[in-house]
Amino acid sequence: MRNLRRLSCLSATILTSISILAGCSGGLSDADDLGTGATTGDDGGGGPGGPGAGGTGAGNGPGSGGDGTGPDGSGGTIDPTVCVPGVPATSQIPRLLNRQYDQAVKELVDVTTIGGTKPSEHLVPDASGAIEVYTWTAYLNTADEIAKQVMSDPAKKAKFISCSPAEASCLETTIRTFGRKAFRRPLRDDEVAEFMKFNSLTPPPASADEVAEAILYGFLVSPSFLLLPELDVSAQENGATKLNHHEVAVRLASALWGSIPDDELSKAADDGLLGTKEQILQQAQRMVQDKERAAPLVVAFHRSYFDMGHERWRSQRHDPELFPEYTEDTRAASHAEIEALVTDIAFNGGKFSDIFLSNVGFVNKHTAAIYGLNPADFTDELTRVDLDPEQRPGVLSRIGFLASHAASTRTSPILRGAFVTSQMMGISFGPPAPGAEQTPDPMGDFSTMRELIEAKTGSGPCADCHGTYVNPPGFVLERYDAIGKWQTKDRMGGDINATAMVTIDQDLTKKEISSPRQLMEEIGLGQRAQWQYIQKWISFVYGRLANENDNCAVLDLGMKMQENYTILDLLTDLTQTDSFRTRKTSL
Amino acid sequence: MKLNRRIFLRGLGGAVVAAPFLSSVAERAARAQGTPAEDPRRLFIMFTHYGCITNSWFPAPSHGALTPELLQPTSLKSLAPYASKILLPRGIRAMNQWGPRPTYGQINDPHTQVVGSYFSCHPVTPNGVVEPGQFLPSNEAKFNAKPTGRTLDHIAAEQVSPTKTPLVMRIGNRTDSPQSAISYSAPQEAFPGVGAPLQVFNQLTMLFQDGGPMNPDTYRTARGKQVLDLVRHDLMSLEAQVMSAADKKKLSDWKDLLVDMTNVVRAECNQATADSLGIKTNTATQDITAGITEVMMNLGVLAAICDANRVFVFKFPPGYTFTGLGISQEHHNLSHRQNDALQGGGTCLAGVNDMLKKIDTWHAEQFAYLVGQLDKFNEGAGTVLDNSAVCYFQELSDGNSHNLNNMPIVQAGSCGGYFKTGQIINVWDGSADMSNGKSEAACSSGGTEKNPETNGDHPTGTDQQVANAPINKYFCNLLNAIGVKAGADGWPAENGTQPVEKFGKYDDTGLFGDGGTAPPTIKDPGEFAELKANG
Repeated sequence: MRNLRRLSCLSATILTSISILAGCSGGLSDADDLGTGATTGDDGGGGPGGPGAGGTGAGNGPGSGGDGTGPDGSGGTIDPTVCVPGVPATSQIPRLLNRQYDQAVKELVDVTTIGGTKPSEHLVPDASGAIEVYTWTAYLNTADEIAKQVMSDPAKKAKFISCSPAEASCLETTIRTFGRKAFRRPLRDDEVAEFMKFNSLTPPPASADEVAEAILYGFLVSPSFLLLPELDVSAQENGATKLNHHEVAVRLASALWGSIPDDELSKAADDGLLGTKEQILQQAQRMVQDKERAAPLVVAFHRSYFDMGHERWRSQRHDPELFPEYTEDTRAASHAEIEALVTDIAFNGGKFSDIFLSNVGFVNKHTAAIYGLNPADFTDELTRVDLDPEQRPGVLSRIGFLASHAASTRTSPILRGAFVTSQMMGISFGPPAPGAEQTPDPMGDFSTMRELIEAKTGSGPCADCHGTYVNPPGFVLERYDAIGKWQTKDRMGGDINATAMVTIDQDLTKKEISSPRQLMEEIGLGQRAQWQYIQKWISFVYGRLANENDNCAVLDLGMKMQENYTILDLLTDLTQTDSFRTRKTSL
Repeated sequence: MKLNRRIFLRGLGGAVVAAPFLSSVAERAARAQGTPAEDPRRLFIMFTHYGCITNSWFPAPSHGALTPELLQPTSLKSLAPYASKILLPRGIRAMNQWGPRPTYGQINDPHTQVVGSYFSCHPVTPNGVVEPGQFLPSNEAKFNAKPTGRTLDHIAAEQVSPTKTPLVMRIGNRTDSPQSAISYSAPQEAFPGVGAPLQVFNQLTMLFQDGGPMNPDTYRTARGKQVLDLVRHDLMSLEAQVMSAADKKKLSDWKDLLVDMTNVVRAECNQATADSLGIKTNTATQDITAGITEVMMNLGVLAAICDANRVFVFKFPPGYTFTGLGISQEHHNLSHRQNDALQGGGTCLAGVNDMLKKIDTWHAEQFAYLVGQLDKFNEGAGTVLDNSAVCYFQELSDGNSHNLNNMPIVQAGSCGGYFKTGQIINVWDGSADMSNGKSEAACSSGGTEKNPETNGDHPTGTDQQVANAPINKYFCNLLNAIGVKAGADGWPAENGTQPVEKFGKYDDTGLFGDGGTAPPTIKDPGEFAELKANG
């Protein structure tokens, strides 16, 4: 269903009653509620300043810093069921995110590494404030490296300049042609003249190639390249400023590819063919099918969605005596599996629910044993296999998630349960009570982790949130041990009881769930998790946190999702909102 | 050591752009100090999370001469060789300590508000409030609150750094959230700093003098100048468009950068020095115990030698697991004397205090390494260390109780003779027998340790009534020592002429409790005179 149904706006609150328990504020949240603390600067998900908020059960220390949503994030809680019509004010000069910088220089001159690492790893992490000296010098140095590399590699050089730089006419043609692509708009004559000055400096260069290199260097440090300016004020629509064709092309490319426009999209902009929703839709449909360009964005989004930049994902260790199967190689393979799985789902017509239900696995010799397969049948390469659909439904049943949401020697139903409820379902239930994280284990003879956690959280201030929101989905996931192996007996000796009353959907009522697959069906087919997913996509592709204005789109797209609606359909339709095509300025 | 007094406008593709004139910053520094411009004053800050085992960290006594022998039995023993250059200010309280009631600060979160207020001495916003029927502030207040003022490093760098921006280095390249970030370039604007060595090194290589004086008469030099013009041209045409004030400011700040890159370049600022410091930009950035810390510190040393900056922050990561020290439990959990299973039920951990002491000792060794490196390079009548104030601050005093009185702070370097060294100076009451705190309790007993109001019943921490001299005063010392000036009202001001007398919004931790509605109030203005060489 990708045709242009006008995004209807339900200005009423669908959800009128949220049960507020004493001491436990159940509500709706779009924030990254799980975890507090650090993500790596080098995560492919790459955005900065995402909500550092959160902390259900996570304790101090590591946590989520960046989630790839762009530099303007500042946390916040919004109820997706309240739709406020309108277009939010945005900066008119957003800067290329580092992940977009990588894609842009690949698109322009086919440079993918500098000295063995991604160009963006030579830059300062994304941030929302003014450019300061380290950011600026990093841009300068990186551009210098790229320009040198391009001029010394004939194939790359040909992408930049295809005639002899000794000819002034060649330089001018190159400035206009390459500049068109780098600035995503035709250059003005005064700009061309400014670039041509590299050809008349005193003293002159030793070779004409040096002039060409200087021009390329100049483009890569130009604000018109590093920023994504939206300046045209000539057209209005419904009280907002309408983007012009070139500005729409830039939004399309950054939204769907995390890159800059290709030739076809640029031509559509030059020809004035990006003025209507239908025209935008036509381009978007083409663009999402371009797997080479769209897949990195799909992966980066899902890394952010599953919070894979979080310290827990990258460094949770496991006792090698208890879990010899789990090594650093296992960790790497388990992350690669999730990236491969979401790509496989998205580009094979998969739906949101497949993320939680697909039994497709990508396994190598470092993960095979944990999945009950024979490592000897596998190599270092990931192999696509069908896993047991009951045991391995979707991403949350895989090693990557399960092993990172556990302690070194045992499972953590609290971490797993809190992740499901807050991150996937978007139910916010407030942070843990002061000191809760330091509560020692209760004394007693427990035969399962579940018994221990129930004793520990079953009374006092912990009881409401843990009993209602945190523990139940975690208990269902006790079917997996601390590294993600299927288990029927707890390490402590007792039988696993994976049946729990889970708070699952929009009315916050409880439902008895007795298997991981049943839990995943509730998530994958339930409206609450769909809203959460859509909201996170909006943050990601619009480069800002979703807000109440976006809820109109969330609600509408959520309805579409109830039908046969693929992930790429969703991505395409994100270009159909008013706030994609128009903007407002905060003055 | 002979200094190269030529001064260049640099930074564009390695080109030297313009030639001999004194940068305004260097000139001002010279005027302010009454000393030659070739002896810059510098501030180095090292910061670690989760406090320490205080009673094995502090040497005894709490006041008097500091000898190598006094340091030997402590976690600071690696500093013994430098005892004569060490200053141990005792009795200081940092601002905005957490509690369940707003007695000693806000009630947002025991980490968020501490790191946010630490170097700003401003409260964090949004203020944590507990709604009726609940018992906790919101997630936003707990985990995402940010200070209402900017931090010491930015206030200092604005006046004394050639780039006006501090060099903030994240050891281990973790990105900080508001629960661990300590550097804010503006109110509520977290400053990310740099995490990879290459990002620092790139800036420095632009200053390097390889193979003697740079020739300004090359195409590359002219190219650098033209790029500058090109970027300025582009920024100005963007600026001419209709946009928000915030967007315009971003463009004008960028334009300012194009002329700010002036530096005094000395002969040692070159690749050979970088090589001698063992700087490798491809060092893995993950394990901070496997070489990366030394690389980052040496980059700071090189940046000091190149005078690329005068304000440096070495920020250690939160939530770190010191596997390189043979410790498999995460540091924050350890600080509460528990193992890493706490997220599903923590248990007391045998030998936890020994692990914490090992971490404390390792942190001190990193500080000692930095001190030693800075002391290797001569400058003026002494060394680079002697011209600097090199300070090690910790987030908390005792990591379990989260008390902010009796802070463990150690400084090396007299900053050009501004500070006394070779001494322990108790600025609280001058006594030699003040408490070193108690951190030896081996396991916490539940959720009450952090409650400062249960004073006396703590298993760990220091009595809230002692060691309470406000850290704001020490920050005034540091700012004055490096030549920062204040306006007529005593607060640091870019075009000021007065000594700094006031820092932050409040210097009484009790005033933080209302979240900042009270007007700025500094009850005890001025420096700690007793820390000054002439004091």
